[in-house]
Amino acid sequence: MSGADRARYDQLAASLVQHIDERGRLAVVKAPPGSGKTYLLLQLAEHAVARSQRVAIGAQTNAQADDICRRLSARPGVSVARFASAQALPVDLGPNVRWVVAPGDLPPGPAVSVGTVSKWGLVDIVEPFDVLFIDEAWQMAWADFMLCGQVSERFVLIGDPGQIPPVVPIEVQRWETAPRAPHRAAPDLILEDRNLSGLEANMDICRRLPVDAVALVQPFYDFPFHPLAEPGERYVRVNGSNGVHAEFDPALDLLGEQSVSAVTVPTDPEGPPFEVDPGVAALTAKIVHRLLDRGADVADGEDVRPLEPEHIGVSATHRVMNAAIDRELGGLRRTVRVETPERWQGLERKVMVVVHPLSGNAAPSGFDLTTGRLCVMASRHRSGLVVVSRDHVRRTLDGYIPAAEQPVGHPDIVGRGHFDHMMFWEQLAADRRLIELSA
Amino acid sequence: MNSREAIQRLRAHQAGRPLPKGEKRSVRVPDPRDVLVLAFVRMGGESRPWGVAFGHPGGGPTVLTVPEGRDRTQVAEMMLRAAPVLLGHLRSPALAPRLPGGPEDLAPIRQIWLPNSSHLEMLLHLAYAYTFTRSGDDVPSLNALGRACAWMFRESQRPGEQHVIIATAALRDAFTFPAETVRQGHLGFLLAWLDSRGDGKAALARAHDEERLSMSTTLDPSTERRELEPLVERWRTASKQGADSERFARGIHSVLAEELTRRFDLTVRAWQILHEDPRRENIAVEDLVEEALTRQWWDWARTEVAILNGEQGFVPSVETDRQPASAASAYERASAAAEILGTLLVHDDKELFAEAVGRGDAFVGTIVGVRDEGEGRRTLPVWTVERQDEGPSRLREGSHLCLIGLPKRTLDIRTIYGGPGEPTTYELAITNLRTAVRGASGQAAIAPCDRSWIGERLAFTTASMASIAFRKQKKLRDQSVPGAWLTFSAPPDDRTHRPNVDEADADETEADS
Repeated sequence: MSGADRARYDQLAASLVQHIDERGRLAVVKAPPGSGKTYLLLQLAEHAVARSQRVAIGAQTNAQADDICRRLSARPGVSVARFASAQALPVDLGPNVRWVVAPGDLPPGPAVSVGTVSKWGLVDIVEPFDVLFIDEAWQMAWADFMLCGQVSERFVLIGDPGQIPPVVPIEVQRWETAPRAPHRAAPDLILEDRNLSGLEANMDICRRLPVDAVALVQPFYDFPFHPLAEPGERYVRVNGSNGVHAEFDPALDLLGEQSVSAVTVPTDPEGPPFEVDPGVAALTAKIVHRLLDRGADVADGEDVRPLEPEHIGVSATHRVMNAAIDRELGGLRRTVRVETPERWQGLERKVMVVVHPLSGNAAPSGFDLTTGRLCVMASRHRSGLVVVSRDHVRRTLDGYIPAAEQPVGHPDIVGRGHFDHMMFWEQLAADRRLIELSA
Repeated sequence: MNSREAIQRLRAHQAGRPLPKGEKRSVRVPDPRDVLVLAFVRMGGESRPWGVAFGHPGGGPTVLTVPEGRDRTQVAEMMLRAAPVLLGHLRSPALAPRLPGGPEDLAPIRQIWLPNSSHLEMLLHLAYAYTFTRSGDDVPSLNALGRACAWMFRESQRPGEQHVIIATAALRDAFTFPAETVRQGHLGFLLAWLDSRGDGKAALARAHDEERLSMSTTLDPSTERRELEPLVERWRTASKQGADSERFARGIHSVLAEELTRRFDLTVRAWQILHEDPRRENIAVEDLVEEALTRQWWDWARTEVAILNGEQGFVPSVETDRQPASAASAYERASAAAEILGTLLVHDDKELFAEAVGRGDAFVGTIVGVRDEGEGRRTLPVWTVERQDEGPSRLREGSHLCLIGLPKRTLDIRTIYGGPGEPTTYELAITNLRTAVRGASGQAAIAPCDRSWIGERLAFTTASMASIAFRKQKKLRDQSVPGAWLTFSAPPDDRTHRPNVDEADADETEADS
């Protein structure tokens, strides 16, 4: 990290530490993907405990809560409780992490208690905490945040505003114009409310992504950030083809120069296949196999090592499509992780192979054009990303006319998403990173 | 449309006729006295009705119209004449022989049937117009009508609701039609397919003919322009001059009545087809009806009783829930309703189960291992289950399942494993009904720890998590929590962006007077 970057990070951390010390009631921190936000959160939690505060941390999933506990266990001075469901099997998360299922058994003194926000919202809290930290806060709906009001009087919310908004299982027309729409991301409502004053801060360094990938995902955010990586220090250098030729090989070769490439396959004149695209599923799996068959060196700064199956992740938006890819992976199943972008949030791999979220969708809805999924898919890799798609996507985007159907006074998320989707393809094309296959 | 629905539609195309969808009916279709059919027409560019038809199946409609659809006073008077029938049908406390004291006094359920979604939107327009109006001959009745329409519109958005039935949606839920989605919003088109005999070509031709006739609340522009506009103009002139305008009013009524009666009759026909459908009702519909009556009481009738008693009943904004706790509470309730709908019906319908498998929410598996991890007298049965297929799955470790046909026997996925070429295997810990149910028969009678389960092929689906949403809703009432300064804080004044509903309504009514 450069001196200037370090100074900015230290300044941000110092302002949050001061906020904790002065018992500030509300802080919201925006962070780009892979910025070390959980690291910052843990740093602050540790500091609060050192100041004799009783700390609660709310994660969005049990896996994230376990991960936070494991990382806290590396800080021996902190006493940790993993607040879990009585039905869950206890997991060994480290020597200083206690498994707790009853609210009455939570540590009464300075310590960190970690649970899911769902758990924090549903149980009856015996004694409120000094402060509640919420990780991945942009995944949390306002209705769930309201329930966390019982945990503490003070809140620190940290998250990535570019990711997928909270899952909404129902029609929400009724609340689109509500002043506190229960389905919207809690930090967005807080930041929009000019009556609420608190500390607002942005992290501005992306540690995970290579330089060109940051440029690609930056338009999805309303605050600037820059890469920690230097140009050319992250790459995937694929070995020779051993006399065997695959038409998509140029896309893999491109990863030696830039971290992102895209492969498109022609769309049938009658339209793309329905729901599951067997051709794209097979191609995605072939790319994974080919990367491993040819062999590759993956560089992540000074760490250069051969590519292994567990270094690769795959993502498509539909579960049925992921199941089809999984089948095509054959012997690599369950070694190469295949998940929806929702499941990839908070995770990373050295190399990602993703199916573009609009591939196969010839008539996208407004919802399809929101950029959360694309943003997550394009920001999980440390060294290389291959985007696979049918070639209709640019035409589909060209032909789409945003209707600005949002309620009066609300931002045109669909129009902006449409524009950002267009820019994503334009950027790939302008940089000659699109490899168009003939069949 | 998912691939399963696409295949069903292709089959319907191949058969040349609509095909039944689902094994069972997932909506209550009551007898005529508990069904009130309601249809509207409105003047082009206007939001309020020009005419309304209502009545029960088996009897002709009562048709009310006004000569001038832009005259809000005339429209309000017309709706005041319709209000007693509509409110009486809904068992409005104001018209009931005795005040209801709870959901049980609202049973059996009474439904409103509407031709299509544009008629549903009319309920919202009526709610906007009358819920808070302060002008008119009979303001309390207009307000009561507005509140009823507002509740019906809100209720129509609740998953699994049973009060407001859109005829087109009910037919689409019950049948797969050999037609594009966009054309299936026309009631006449759907009924032509269902009522035609012979080959598909004849049905298609009839459906095309029916499609030309407007079924929405707006009239065919040529009818309005050529037949109605001259009559309205003459009626206005005659009225201004104090001449006989009645014959023009009768002419207008005649045209509108024909339009309204067609919409009414077709809606009755939709009800009739579903009423005579041989498929029996899904057993879970009884639960949905019970919940619908509970909601009718809590969301509408209780307030009506309070108002009758001279109390300040809470009347929600027509537009949205402005209070954060009300909004979050309603959101959780709707989420719970969606959970219940998505997990209840599947137990009594093989086609719905197949759809759940296709979505990755359900699977069929064989029990290959049974063990008891309990200590002492406590039993904790764990099943090892091999999945039969390799379809899509959204099931994860920690997912909650239940047995098809025995929804109260719930299971948590402990682990999922299986290498390449091996079946996916689940370890399932049974979390509810861990022992045999005394006096029960079938699966419930056998203790989950019994080794006779080994080799049994069972169907599993995701369990309802509605109880969590209900618990959340309950907790949202507590405003004494330490973080209430933020979570229950007054929302910002948003009038700079959006008109206040009450004010907008007041403006309109002032203009009326």
